[in-house]
Amino acid sequence: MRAAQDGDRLAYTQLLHELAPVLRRVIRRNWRNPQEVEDLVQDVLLSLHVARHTYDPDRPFLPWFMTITRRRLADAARRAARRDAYENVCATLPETFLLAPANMEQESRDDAMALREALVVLAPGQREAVELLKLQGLSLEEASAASGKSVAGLKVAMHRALKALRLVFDGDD
Amino acid sequence: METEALIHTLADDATPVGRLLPPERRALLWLALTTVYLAGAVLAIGLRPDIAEAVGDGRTLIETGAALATGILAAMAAFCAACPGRPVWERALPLPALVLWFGLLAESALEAWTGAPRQAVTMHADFAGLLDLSLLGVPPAVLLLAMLRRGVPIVPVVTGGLAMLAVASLIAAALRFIHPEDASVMLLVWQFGPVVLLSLLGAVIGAPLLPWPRSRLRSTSDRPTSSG
Repeated sequence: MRAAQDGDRLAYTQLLHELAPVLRRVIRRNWRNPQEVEDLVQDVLLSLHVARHTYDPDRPFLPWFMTITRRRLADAARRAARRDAYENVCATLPETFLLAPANMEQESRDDAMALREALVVLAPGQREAVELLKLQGLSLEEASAASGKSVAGLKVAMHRALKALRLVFDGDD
Repeated sequence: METEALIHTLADDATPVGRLLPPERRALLWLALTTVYLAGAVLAIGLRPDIAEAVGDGRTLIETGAALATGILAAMAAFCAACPGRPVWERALPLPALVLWFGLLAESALEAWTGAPRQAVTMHADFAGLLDLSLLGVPPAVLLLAMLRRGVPIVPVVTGGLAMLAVASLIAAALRFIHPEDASVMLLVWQFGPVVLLSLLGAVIGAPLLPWPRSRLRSTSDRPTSSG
């Protein structure tokens, strides 16, 4: 940090790289919403950047760093509380929008959720085939190497999985 | 923005920074400037006519000393509170002196109220003293807030309260050289009382006046910061 204060960019980059995973662990332990963790990590790093002139090299680094972290988490918690006081989180809206492009994102999210729910009813071997071949996009050879099953076996499992999924989705319709 | 990209942006922006002086030194600097200012103000307004007796009175000296100690320690505490990573106990530095000051005034006021015949204890409004305390305090308060904003107030409510306590206490001590009012009840109400009120005001306005510094990155979008 002393070197960073003197303008040593390499040292500063190394320091920030070392701090980022530590921050993630600390913030994950103290923050409910995992989707906001990375935003908070960046917020703390930015706050450290603007406050770096206040660090006294004769004093330990960790208390200085953790004080900034706790302060920014407290600020974020206050912002979240204010936001939650006047916002309601909507469930997924079941309506279809007039413009086709507006539908795509919503419906693709719905499709992904429906697929995840449908996969549950498949046999383990069939589920594995769908995940490897369709969701991960592996070739038959790659999927065979990953699963330890033969190519022919994967083809059969995939065929049966598609039949089962067709029944599930036709039943929903 | 990805964290990796942010790190590179921050590193690109990492020009050498002027390190903040230790809080003790910054406090001493502010105290020196404020002392010069108050000495000039006292001389300009004029010393109280009975200054010789006042200085010779042990009680007055101790009370003035307690006020001075409160102001000095509150200034130290305010500057420490504007540095992340400092021990939390430093924020309580002025407390013993403040309690002593209040105790002296309260004890003396109680003695005057219960001991003397009622008609000998008179109270009157001392708006002149209140005005002097408020107006005299503006320049040192502005300077102190400007110096504190160079730091990073972690708890701006506490920092703001300590800052105003420092200013108000020093002004109250200086007023003992100007106003010939030594009645403890009067001092308790019209000098100590405003000190407490101004400290509370400082706490209330601390957050908006001592926000978290905004970033001035040369590139990328500016992430919003909160003063909390």
